[in-house]
Amino acid sequence: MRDLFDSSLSRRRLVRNTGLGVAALAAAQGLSRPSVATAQEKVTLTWLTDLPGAEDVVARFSEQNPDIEIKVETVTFREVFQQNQVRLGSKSENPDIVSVDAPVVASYGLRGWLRPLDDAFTPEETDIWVDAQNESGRYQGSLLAAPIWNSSQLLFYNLDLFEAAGVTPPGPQDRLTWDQIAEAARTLTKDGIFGFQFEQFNRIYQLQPLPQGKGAQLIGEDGLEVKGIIDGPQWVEAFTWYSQIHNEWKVAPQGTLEVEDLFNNQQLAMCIRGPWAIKSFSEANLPFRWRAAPHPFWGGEIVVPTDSWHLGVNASSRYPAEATRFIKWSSSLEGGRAWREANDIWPPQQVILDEIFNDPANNDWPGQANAIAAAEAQYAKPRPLTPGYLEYEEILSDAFEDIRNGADVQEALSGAADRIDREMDKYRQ
Amino acid sequence: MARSERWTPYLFLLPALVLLVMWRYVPIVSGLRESFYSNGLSLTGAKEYVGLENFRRLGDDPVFWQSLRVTLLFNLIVNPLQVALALALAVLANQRLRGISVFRTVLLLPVAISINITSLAWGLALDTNYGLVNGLLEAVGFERQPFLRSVDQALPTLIGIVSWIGVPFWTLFLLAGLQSIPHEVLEAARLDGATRAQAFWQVTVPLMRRTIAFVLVSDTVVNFTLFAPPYLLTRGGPQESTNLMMYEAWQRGFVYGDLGASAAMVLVILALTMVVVAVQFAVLRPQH
Repeated sequence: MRDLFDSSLSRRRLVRNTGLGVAALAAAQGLSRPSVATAQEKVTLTWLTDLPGAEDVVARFSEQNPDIEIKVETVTFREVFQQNQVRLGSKSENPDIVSVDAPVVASYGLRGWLRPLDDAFTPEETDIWVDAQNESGRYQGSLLAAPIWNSSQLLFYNLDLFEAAGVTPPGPQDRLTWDQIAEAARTLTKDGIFGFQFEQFNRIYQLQPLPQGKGAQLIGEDGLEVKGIIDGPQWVEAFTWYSQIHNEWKVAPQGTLEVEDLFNNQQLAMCIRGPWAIKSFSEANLPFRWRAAPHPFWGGEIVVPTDSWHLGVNASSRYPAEATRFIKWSSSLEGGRAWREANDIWPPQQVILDEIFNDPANNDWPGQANAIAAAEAQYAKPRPLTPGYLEYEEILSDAFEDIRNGADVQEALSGAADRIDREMDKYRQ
Repeated sequence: MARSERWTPYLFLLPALVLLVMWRYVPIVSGLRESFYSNGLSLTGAKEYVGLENFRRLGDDPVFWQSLRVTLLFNLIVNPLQVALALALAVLANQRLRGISVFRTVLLLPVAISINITSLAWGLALDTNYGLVNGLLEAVGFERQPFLRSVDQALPTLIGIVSWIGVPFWTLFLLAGLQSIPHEVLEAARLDGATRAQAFWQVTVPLMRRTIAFVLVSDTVVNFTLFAPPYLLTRGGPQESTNLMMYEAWQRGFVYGDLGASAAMVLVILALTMVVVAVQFAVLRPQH
């Protein structure tokens, strides 16, 4: 009986493997017609993500890989983290393809939630990614997740509002200081128009250049220590400026905001957004001239936020080989171009970044914004590497929100440091 | 009674009992178990029996105590407030007037909107810069108010939003209770010379004890486990002033990945609710 069972199993496996082989061959030869065997042995993978354009990219992949069907489960940004936490933590085999934001690679890696990808990628294949992205997908030297997106940040502004207020606008090479931003914002703020806001006004991702630009660390060398760092003098100084723009000069709007809508409705003169804004601004046919400039700084070191989504294979997935195939394709040059075509995604592949920078179409507005964003990649600083990134981010986010609402800066940051410190205890075993 | 007939009622009860055990008691027991184990989402992923360690950690955490204070204060105000307002509205809606059915419909309309939509709509309306309420305040010469963004105003605002749905909802039950009081009883009281107020306090309220007890207890349970409004509107802030225990428990479990402490916290909420409900039952037990 057992023999019978085993032999039927191996026969099934044989058929499947043959099917895969045929499919791979078909894909390699660019044949789009699925063979009978592949249609029967189609593997269905699940992918939990919040990424716009995911369906289009999957469709492109499926054209070449008819033996793999990918079900995209779309959730909100915050839910990706929460669902991953619950599903991977309970060793669920779904999702097969895990969306991993760069700073949580270490956290998932520590817990053994991701299947290492070292054997799947040759060094030539990983070298096409920019250094920061190649690094952030690794934990203890092992590649756990491949980058599919990238990001840098720019200053966007409404040229019409600048001219109307008599403020000199920055040119495409002019990097303003945060103090110049505040000064310009004070002149620009009037008649229901606010001067400045970050798109992600309460998240460390866009706010980290404030303390880092003053030479501060984001977290201790051990990835756990925060006391004396995030409540130290440089952080307090940086976030005093952040408090002032909200509470003292009132040039940055408070509350829950859609910064894109405010900017598009000419209620906001300047904002910090990622390169994803370029496409949305261009397509919105805005009734004013918008421009971009390099990311602001304090006058010393230039720090531009980076990192983005990576993809990894769930360690409990039943179909690791198939999931790996999608991830390899997705992070390749071909995949990078597919993402870019699907939704103007900022690519982690240096070759595509160079193409954007050198594209003659990007010599003039609005394309010039793309060239500025591509050049900013050299100042990219990743987010802190810590197994407790979710706690770090969430607690800091609450503290930033309190500071926006007028809480004492030192008190808010010290409170956050205490709380993060307590939450990090579970990683100090 | 035939032997088989004796079991018939239990047979009919069985589906409900099975569901009750499956969806209420199994989770409670597994939560109880979870609260004595180490965090399954920790580095090692190993689950070990740790006794009362999770409870000790909560006891040492000022955020837990702040959350407990906020939850108690919130419930101390919101439950009596909602029941009193609901009772007043039910009495009003119980009047026999022309067009009273229109009044009842308008009164009960908020019940038809989910608490999530209500929270989000009020969140928009109360926004300092772009909210309708602040626009109106400014139009009549008042200063703009921070509402959900102020340490002092956030909890009262939350109580207001929650009551906007809660009051008409509980009015529905109290109105049904009022309508079940026989008209003759009130008429007899009036014939004996009781004033309207006396008839209300001496006749209506005692006859309503059972309904009021039901409403108060249900309302208390709902409000001790309230989650959506702080989740959608304040995330427990500003400065933890709306950090209700259910939200804090969720945050610990699903954001910080500390399932043990989260389960321990939910058990504290359960125990607290049981104590409060027991007191309410004791006080409101019908005296006849």
